[in-house]
Amino acid sequence: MTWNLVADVQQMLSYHFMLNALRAGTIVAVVAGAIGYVMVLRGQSFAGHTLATIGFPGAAGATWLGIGVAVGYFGFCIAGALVIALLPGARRPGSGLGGSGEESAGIGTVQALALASGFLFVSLYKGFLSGLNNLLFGTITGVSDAQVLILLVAGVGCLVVLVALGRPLLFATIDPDVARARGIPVRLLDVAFLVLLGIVTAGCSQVTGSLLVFALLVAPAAAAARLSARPAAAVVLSVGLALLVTWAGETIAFFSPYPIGFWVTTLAFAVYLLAIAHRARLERPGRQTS
Amino acid sequence: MLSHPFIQTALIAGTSIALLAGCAGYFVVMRGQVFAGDALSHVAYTGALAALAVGLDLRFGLFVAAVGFGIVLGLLGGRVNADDVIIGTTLAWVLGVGVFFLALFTTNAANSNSNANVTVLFGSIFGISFAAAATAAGIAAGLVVVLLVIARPLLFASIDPAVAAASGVPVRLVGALFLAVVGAAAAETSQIVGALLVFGLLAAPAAAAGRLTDRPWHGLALSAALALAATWAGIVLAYAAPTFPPSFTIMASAAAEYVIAVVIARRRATGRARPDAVPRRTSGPVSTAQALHARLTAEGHRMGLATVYRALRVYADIGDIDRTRAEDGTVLFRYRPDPGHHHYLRCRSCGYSVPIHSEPFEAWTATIGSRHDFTDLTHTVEVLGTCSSCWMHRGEG
Repeated sequence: MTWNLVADVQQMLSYHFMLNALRAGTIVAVVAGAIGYVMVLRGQSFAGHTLATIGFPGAAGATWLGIGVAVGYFGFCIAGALVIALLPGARRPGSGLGGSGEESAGIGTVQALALASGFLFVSLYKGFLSGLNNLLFGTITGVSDAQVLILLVAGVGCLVVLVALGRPLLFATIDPDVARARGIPVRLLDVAFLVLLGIVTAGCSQVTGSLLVFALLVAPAAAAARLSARPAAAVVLSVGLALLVTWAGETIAFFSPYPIGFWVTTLAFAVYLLAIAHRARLERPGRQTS
Repeated sequence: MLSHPFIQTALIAGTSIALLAGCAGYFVVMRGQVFAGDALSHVAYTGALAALAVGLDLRFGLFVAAVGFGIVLGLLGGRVNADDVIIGTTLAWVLGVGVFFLALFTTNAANSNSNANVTVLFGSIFGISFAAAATAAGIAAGLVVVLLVIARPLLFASIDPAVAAASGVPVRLVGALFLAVVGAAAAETSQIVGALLVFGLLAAPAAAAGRLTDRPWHGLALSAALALAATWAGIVLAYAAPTFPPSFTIMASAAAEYVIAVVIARRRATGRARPDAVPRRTSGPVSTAQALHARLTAEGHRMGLATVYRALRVYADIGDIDRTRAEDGTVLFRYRPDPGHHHYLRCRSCGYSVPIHSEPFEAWTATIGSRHDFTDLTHTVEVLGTCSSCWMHRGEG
């Protein structure tokens, strides 16, 4: 590293793997930023976290069986989303899946079982211990051209569906009872959103690792929600912050000996803290405008 | 099978830790702190790796990190339940820091023990030494005793924090102490099933118990028993089929218990007696949950106080019961005979209440709403006074 910014960036971009990592990171950040905002609004952070961890047994299982890792990620995450949607308690009106008590205990059970199955697949497929860490915590060297293409297709698909569902979904999120009375299929939207979340987490997992997807899903969205109350502005902001965090994290990870997961989560957390601090400053007594 | 020393050790550690996880988990689920429990187990992972990175015993890191974080979460108080975004963001970052320590630890050439990370993440009950198992059993026994000592106030504080605080229960202190115990339990449990799976042993048996019984003490015992059964079944299965790691068989047993409990509860739900007596008994004067419970018990209904609370909450949510607060903060309930909107004039000493005509007030609210361009208005009106009977008998009590 030379501290010559242009030369450094040129050096970084001369590696094909780095280019792929940035492409994948960009796709993932845009989709995660957008859908993460809806997730935070719906109070489904815990379900998101669980879906993210479900990617791990998917990838481990696919490696064990010798099929494509992407198939494992997407297959398991979508199946996981359907299982969570079917859990008892999940259909109680007005209660997000992150709600208290039993429904989250059910989600937690799914999560622990998923991780345990992942561990089982890892031990059945003897000898990829370093692969285990990459699956869980991500790596910037692991993204292939084919994966970037799959991510692009899945990402664009998710965004299209999200935009199509956008208005009714927002309505069903904010006031499920009224939405139901207006004839919006709230239950169906719940399931559709969880499946969408599953696809997105499956995509993210391939860049940040299963355990750290969550940082991209929740932190930029939570920060954006603190900075703007208008949904459209907040979604744009959330996407922007996610992009910033991903690009910066990948760049720093390239030049430092520490893994990408650490940098992405730390930057995301810092963005969130800054948003809280900014909000607190705005809300300080004496500065209200009314 | 029992002649193998490693099985004996596993059974000692597994039994004691399962009992602890079952008891602690029951309260975690009841208090709605599942996500916080999840966060604690991730903190335990980071703590363990930090200890490894600086060359300490990993158990030291496990306990310091998990117990410390538990106390901090507990002192932050009720906010922890409310904001899953804060827990989620912190949790993601804590894991990221764990990865950082992992990188530090593995790049340090002096460390030959490259399996340590996998052990911390996924545990290995068959790899535990006898000394470690004995320590684990001792600590688990101590923690179970602590839990049982604080169980009553904890239960009270979980079900109705306002009344508990009014009755002199140090709600916040109990909450912090409880999360410290959960932290220690997470640290203990992660030694047998690993930091990532702790959470399953905390949540699954407790959730299954919650499906099967509404009565707190039965639930607590059942949760501990189910955790124990899952652990034993897991150990036996892993011994019988050595390809399966014990952490997986334990988790799979716990998840199976939960699924079975859900199925049983669903089949039973159709025929089960519902606490229908609750809303009808709230007609007449307003009542506190305790007074109502006493009345129901006197009338021969077998029903716990927690069930009364649960039923009241359900009926209040669907609008069959009005919920108000007395001047000291106690929650009062009153049966609402028809679904309309009502206001009451209530006696502050005996609780006798009469519905009042409030059309002038409603009209006034609607007027100011339209004048300021507000729609969908709601309001809370409490009119208190002393009823004639109480006024006549004043000074007697």
